[in-house]
Amino acid sequence: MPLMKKHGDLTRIRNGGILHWSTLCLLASGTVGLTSCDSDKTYTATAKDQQMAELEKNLDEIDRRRAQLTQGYVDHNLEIPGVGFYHADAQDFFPYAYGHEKDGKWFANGEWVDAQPKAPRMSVSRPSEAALKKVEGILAKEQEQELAGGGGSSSSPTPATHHTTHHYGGSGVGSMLLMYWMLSGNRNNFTPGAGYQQAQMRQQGWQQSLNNDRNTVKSHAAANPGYQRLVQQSKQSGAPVTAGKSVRGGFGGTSSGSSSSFGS
Amino acid sequence: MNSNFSFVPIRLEASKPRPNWIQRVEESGLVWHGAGADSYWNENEHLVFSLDAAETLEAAANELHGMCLDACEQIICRDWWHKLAIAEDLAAIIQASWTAQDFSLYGRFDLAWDGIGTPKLLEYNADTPTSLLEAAVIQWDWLKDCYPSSDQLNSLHEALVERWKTLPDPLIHLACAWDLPEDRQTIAYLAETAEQAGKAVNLMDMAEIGYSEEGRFTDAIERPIDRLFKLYPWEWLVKEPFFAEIGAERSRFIEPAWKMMLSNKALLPILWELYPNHPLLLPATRTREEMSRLGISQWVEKPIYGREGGGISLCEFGKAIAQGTGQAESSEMIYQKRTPLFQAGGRHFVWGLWMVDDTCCALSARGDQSPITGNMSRFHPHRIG
Repeated sequence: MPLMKKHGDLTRIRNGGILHWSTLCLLASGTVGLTSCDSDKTYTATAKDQQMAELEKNLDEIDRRRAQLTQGYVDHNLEIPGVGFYHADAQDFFPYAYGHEKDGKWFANGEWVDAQPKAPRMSVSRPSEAALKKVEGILAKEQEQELAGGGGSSSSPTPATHHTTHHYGGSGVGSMLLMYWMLSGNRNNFTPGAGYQQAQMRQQGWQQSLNNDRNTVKSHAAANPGYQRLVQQSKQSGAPVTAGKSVRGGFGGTSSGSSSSFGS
Repeated sequence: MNSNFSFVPIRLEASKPRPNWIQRVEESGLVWHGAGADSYWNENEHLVFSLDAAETLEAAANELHGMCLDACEQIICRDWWHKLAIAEDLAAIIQASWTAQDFSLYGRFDLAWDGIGTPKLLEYNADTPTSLLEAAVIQWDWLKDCYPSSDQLNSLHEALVERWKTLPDPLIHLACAWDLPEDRQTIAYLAETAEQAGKAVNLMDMAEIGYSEEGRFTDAIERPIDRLFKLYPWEWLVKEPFFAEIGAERSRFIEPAWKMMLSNKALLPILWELYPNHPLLLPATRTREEMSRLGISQWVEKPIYGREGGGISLCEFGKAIAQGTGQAESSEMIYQKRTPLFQAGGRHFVWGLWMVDDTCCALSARGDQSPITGNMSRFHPHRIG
């Protein structure tokens, strides 16, 4: 019988070749997961992507806080730059996060204690009248600085946050809006002064400023493939978007969730 | 005994599985063999082709490939993009890819043939064909172990190695959806062939591909990608964010963008229009009404994009009598006259004819109790006998 088509003698799969390596990974994993052999996947961004991702995160955080604050409630350990960290049980703001540890002591409800404090009784509460007056004072001061051209405080004077802190690191405008919403939601619990009344007049402008920021982010996302995917990955993983390398994640999205081959 | 069958073009023959077959196929990379009663890899039986039959299929594939390339030319010359449901902006990339003759590696025709008359084209998996490892390596190993004096229509491995050698690039990146074992093993096998061609290789997840400020696609360690084999359909790439950046990088992609004209099942009515009544083609139309006008009452409805039988229906007088598992990937359908498949052992067989560049170099067989080949259809080895 005439021969058809045959492999040559040199065309065997090589011992230790890539296919063998891949097969060993698959067999070792026992499932479809291949994590033992996965390369280190770091999804990174351009400097602009990082900047936009941080801005977007802050804007999302501000939006998320609005509903709760305008009803008068504040989350435990919420940080408002320039004001401090909210301790729900004490119904007040302090310079350190609840549970912050330093030199063998822990900070809770306005004082240093010798043992790590238990979880607070309340995860959310209304600030006391004294706390609200304190916030209004800071809000008045921030507005003065803004009018004087200082732009308000965009960085926190508070020390490093505890890992359970609800941290907000937004712009000065964002901080002032948070303070205004909080005071607005608690108008029956304190006597509004000049700081609040002035903020009432200016809050629409602050909101417009945030809308402008939002539009900037949207424009960047529209013009930069992969950015939205990058932000989604950051949200899922909790890892921040970091600058310096290629944007990744712009391919492969269609396959997410599938369990069978994409071949045909 | 075999001489009694010498005039039978194709037959299914019982065979004794190798005692260590699981170890053998896993050693060569086939880890999704599905050992059990309904195993995907099946060596309890195998197909035996007469030499004439194998050469008939080989010749059919070569002729069909030439017709498909001609169809590509006609699609571009006649501006037939609407017939493929391809938008104008996408057409520009495809046309540029075709004009530049962007590098193509391989593809697989699916043919129907019961050994009588001429084979018929069912579809051309020109973009992301799988079952490559089984066709190139696993069935060859089986042949050497079980029928060392027999032959097989199979020079797929050598052809891939030689094809890689024609590329000047020293480093080939290969990407797929990383979590899928079959796809990952397919690119691992292709990487193996590229290495045998003297290339350095890098395997990666599609999601790992980066896009640098310099306008280049990059790998995980920031190397620009000069050549990317992607086991990932073009019709998916076009929906993803980085597609907007493909422009100047187009020619680096394997399979090339022009294969979108061939992997789209709307190619089938185009071929029928260009080659009416060609013996290797089945009547194919873009509407049911055209099927009826041709006096055809039994046809197959196929989504223009789809994999492993997804969205396919067998129809008689307009009513579906069988449907493939899985989802259609497009709402646009085409209609193709139904033709008998080779049947034996209670299964229907579809022949895979493997093209590397422009030459047919291997045959593979998938069998299923359903007349619609699906993801779990068995792979049967073959020999020339």
